Amino acid sequence: MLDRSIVWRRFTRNRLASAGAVVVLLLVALAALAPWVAPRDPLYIDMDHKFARPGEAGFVLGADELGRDVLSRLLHAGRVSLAVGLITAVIAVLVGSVLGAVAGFYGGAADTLIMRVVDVLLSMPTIFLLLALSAFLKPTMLTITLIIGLNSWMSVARMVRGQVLSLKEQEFVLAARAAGAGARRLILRQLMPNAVAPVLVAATLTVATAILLESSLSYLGHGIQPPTASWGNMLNNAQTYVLYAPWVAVYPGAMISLTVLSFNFAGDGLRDALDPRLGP
Amino acid sequence: MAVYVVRRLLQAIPLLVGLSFAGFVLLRLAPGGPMAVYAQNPSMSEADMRRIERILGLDRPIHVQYLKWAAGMARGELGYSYRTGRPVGEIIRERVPATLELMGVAYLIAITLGLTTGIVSAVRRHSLFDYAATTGAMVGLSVPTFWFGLLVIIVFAGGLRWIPSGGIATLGAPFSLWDRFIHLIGPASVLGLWMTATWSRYARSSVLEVVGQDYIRTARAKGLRGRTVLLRHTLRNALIPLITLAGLEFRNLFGGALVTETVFSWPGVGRLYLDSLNYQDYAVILGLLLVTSLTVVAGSLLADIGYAAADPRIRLG
Repeated sequence: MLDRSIVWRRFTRNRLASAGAVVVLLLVALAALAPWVAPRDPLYIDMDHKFARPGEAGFVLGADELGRDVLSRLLHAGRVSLAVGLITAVIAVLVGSVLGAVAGFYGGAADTLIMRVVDVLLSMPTIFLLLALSAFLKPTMLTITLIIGLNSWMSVARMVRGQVLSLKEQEFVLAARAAGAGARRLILRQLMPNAVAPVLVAATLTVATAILLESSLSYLGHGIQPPTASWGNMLNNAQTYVLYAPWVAVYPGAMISLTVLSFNFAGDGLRDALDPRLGP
Repeated sequence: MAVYVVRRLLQAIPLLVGLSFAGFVLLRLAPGGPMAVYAQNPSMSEADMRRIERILGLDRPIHVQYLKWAAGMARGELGYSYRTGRPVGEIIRERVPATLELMGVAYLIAITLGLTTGIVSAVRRHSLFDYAATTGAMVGLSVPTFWFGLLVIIVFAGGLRWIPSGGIATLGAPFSLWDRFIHLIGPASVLGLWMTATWSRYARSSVLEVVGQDYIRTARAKGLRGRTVLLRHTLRNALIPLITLAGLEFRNLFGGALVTETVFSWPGVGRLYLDSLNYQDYAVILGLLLVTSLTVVAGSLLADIGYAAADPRIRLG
């Protein structure tokens, strides 16, 4: 593991990555404070102001087809989209690390089985599989998070497995083994700490993909269900009126793009900052 | 080479078994299952239901059902639509040409544009073009396809009125190539540009990897012209690994196509999939899931074989 101050210096020197991290923090803060900063109730229907233009009648970013305030909905939807993204990343990292470590450490049948499951999941088009699963289960915030999480751990598993494989015959691991360390201790104390950097990067990038997946599912009508707003489902029926009320579609999509872009830049910057092959 | 192909084909077998197993489990998990349609019919008695279950083989042990189902799949029998009763294979085949048209043109855009951008980016590393291209690719990967599609509709169909806002052809109008082209251009560009991002990133890093090799330095040192080094030494080696990407990207291509088809009301397999979901037509859903997955498997198989044909280190290693 690199010296923390070096990583910090490298990361902050990367302007796009720092900007990404700052925007992520801002978005998380806004989402957390949504009930207090949102000007209106995001669910309040006001048919008198249906499709109010941005700026009209106090609707800063306009109103949707039911006269609900777009800005308030954006802020509240941010809580849903960010929560789904972050929790998904946690699930992906936990499942991926455990399965990857087991596959790499024990090898044999366990390895074959886990890697075949990875292959199968990686050959199904993600959106198709997620749509089927969300149609079978009742789409709630919990099930959506779970099914995206359980379809996002494969790259983490492959990476952790690779790390464990390349490290498990090295002297420091053999020494610990000779000193009597058990499998659990070897994995948790000797092997996993070496995988922390790539796992951290993968987690950041997983948040980005998870937010994109959730928004696509919700856009297609099989993700977060109305009336709860998510950035994706705010675009759900946008097609039908996108030509005369474009603001209803433009702002939620911009929020998704901004969030995903920030996580991607931060993740990429983190990868470069943690790469020991690059100079200080 | 033949040995490699056979070995690679054998490796695909457990994958196919796993896929069919996953498909079958999903079919069982589906709420209501194949009996749901009949259960909705009030004139069906309990005895009728049991009889249909027996005819469909649903009273047999689960492993027998799986083997029977998998054997049918292997013969290309995807079952019958719960909704219309038509063979699933037939329903899917009707939608394939539209999706193939969209994916084919989009893929062509992605590969040509992506490779060009990636190569120029790598050759002129740290130039303004490189920064613009890498940032642009990152934006391309972060913007949701459906939103990008809606923006294209707002600007080019709404504002400028250059293209129609959706569909594959003008309804009721006689077939015309121009009409088809003008309908295709929106969805194909959206899907194509989205995938261009991935291709340019891979092309860039692949070229950069090769540029750092010793043999490139040797080629330069012996006085070869920059052009020769680029075309004969760098690109030839840098582009070979990208054959694998062509196979890997099939999975994303399908996902992107489904979303793009929805935005532009394109009558392909993606729309069929969503419509079937809304009608709970699980036979069609599972059929499509398996057909698309098999295409992904076949795509990566072909790409691996192509890679081995181009690079002897792979087939002999």
